[in-house]
Amino acid sequence: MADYTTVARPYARAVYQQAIETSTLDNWGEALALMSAVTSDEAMIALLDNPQMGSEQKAELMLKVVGDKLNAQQQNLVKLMAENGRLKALPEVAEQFEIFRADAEGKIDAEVVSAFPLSSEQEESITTTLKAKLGREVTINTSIDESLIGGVIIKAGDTIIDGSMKSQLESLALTLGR
Amino acid sequence: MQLNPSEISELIKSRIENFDSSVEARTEGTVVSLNDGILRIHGLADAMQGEMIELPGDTYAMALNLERDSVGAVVLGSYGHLSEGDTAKCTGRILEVPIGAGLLGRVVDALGNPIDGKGPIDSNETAPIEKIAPGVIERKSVDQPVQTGLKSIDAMVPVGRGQRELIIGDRQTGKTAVAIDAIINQTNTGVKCVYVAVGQKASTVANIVRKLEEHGAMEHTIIVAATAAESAAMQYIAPYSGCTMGEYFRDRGQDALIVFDDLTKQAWAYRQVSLLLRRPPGREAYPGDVFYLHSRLLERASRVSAAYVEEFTKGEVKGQTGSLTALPIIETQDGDVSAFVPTNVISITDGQIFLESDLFNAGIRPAINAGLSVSRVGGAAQTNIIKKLGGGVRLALAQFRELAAFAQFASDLDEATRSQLSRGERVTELMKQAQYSPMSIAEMAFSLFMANEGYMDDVPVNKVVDFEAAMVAHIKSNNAGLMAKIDETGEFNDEIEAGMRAALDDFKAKGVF
Repeated sequence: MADYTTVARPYARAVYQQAIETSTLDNWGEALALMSAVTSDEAMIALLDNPQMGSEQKAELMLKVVGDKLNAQQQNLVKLMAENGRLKALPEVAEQFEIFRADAEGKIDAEVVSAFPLSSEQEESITTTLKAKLGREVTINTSIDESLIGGVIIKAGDTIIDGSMKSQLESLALTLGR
Repeated sequence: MQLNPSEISELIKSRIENFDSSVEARTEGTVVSLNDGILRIHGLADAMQGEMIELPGDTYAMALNLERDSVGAVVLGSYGHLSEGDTAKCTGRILEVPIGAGLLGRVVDALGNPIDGKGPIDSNETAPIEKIAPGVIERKSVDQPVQTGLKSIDAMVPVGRGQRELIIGDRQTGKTAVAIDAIINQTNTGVKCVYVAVGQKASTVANIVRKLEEHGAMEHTIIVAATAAESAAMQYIAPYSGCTMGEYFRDRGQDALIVFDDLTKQAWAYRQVSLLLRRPPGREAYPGDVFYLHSRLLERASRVSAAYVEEFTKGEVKGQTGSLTALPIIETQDGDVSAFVPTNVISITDGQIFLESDLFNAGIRPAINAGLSVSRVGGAAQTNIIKKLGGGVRLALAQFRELAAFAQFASDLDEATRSQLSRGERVTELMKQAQYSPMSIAEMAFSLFMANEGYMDDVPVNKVVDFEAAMVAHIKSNNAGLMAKIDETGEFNDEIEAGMRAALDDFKAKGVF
């Protein structure tokens, strides 16, 4: 995954600019999500890794699977990436495209993991605090992990705010063990 | 089951009470690959160069390569428990080590953790291992001597406080012995010492610790050890850690001496780390910044002005200059000083003490080559009496070596040459000195005076060493007052000269040798 970050960036930027110019952001987003789902499929990965297939065959194969849902430009992207042998970078391209989009719209998704279900006031207060801290419109997705014992962990992009009981106990154990 | 001293309930209670449980936003990344202790971490967008990165299992890594989508880092310590997919967290701190007087008498690793089994370090201050050296304004010129206690060094290549004097030579030429003698001689001088062992056998380090303890020199010494068994990253940072511990004393208006033993092995360790990080190799496969590796380290050894010390301590220490003297050691291969690292370090330092295996095998120990050894700034710092009496020794010895080579072919020599040769032979003998027996200023002064004034001319060459020992013993028991006076003032004047002459005449007359 991480190996393709650098490779995927120029594709994602080009797609994003094209989408802005033609104001087809949503359409591109859906198409990329679809393509990345297909290229993440294990059977598909095996085919893409097959050295006996040429790049044109791989492009044809991709288009056979998803071609009818793509417009001409999107089909061209598939062909281009097949030609460069980069079809496997598609999931990363999709991810970065979404990041470009979220950046431009000033939005960020935050994942909130807690030991107990959060009340709506708590969710509200986390959202407003995060908004002030990150300076962006925050959408939170909550999930529950009982092993945390108490507290919450907030993940937004690379930033982690770990206020869980579990990690505090772990670091206390380390301090005392020294 | 044994209980640790740190496991007393009261202590545990206070540590739990003082436990810092504040929550901070930190950047997290994922370990993408781990090979030979080199981590590639995806994420960590705001990592700093040299930042400590926290890994699972109380392990830390140091960020060295900051790239667009990944960070290259070296694991400090063992990495057997790490694997791909582990999370790595930024700590927001540059690598730091404990500093302070509590480290004196201790043996620590490159991160400042005690490894001598004497319990935790009594220190609550830390400082980053990489610091910028004092600037031009903050410095003061070198004008006080560091007495190494070796008469050949103090007479021929004097070292001043704040100087960087390189000790260079092949393996088994006594490089470490010179440095250890210099440390032992700092007992009761107030100069604090740091000995950094890089890539050495653990048994050698243990031996050095024992020798220093035997001579009562451990109380003023910190030993930083990154032995051959430790990772290359630890060997690479050990000199910087030691330097930070030495700077503590310099910045507080005290004098310190640091020995890097040796920088060749540190360069090897850095080369290993750099190649594993896929930095382009250059000459001898060293990376491009191997000069800067040593220059930034040795530049931190300096003498700082009283104003700097006052400002640093916020007025607590007034009117005192501080210094950090460095004795870096470089090991050459077969006497080749023109290899990459030796030339670099020679050009960085303020002079070098060149040790030769031929001299060493001929029994001339310390095996100092008088012709190639120089001190570029030490002369200004030399003790007055040693400067006056030892001034000609270096030149005389260098000329003697040359003359001796020619004299082998000549059958009949004129009187002047013969006397120069016989004096040279005796001075060469006189410059011999046993290990772990540093001399005081007065002892050196008498030896040099004796050579200059021809007191030894009728002593057989093979008896010179005994003659000198007998002389020192005689003067010690009969002229202790004069010796104390010389040690105290370090001056040379007509009165002292007359006193010395009388003492030596007395010694010769009694013929007790």
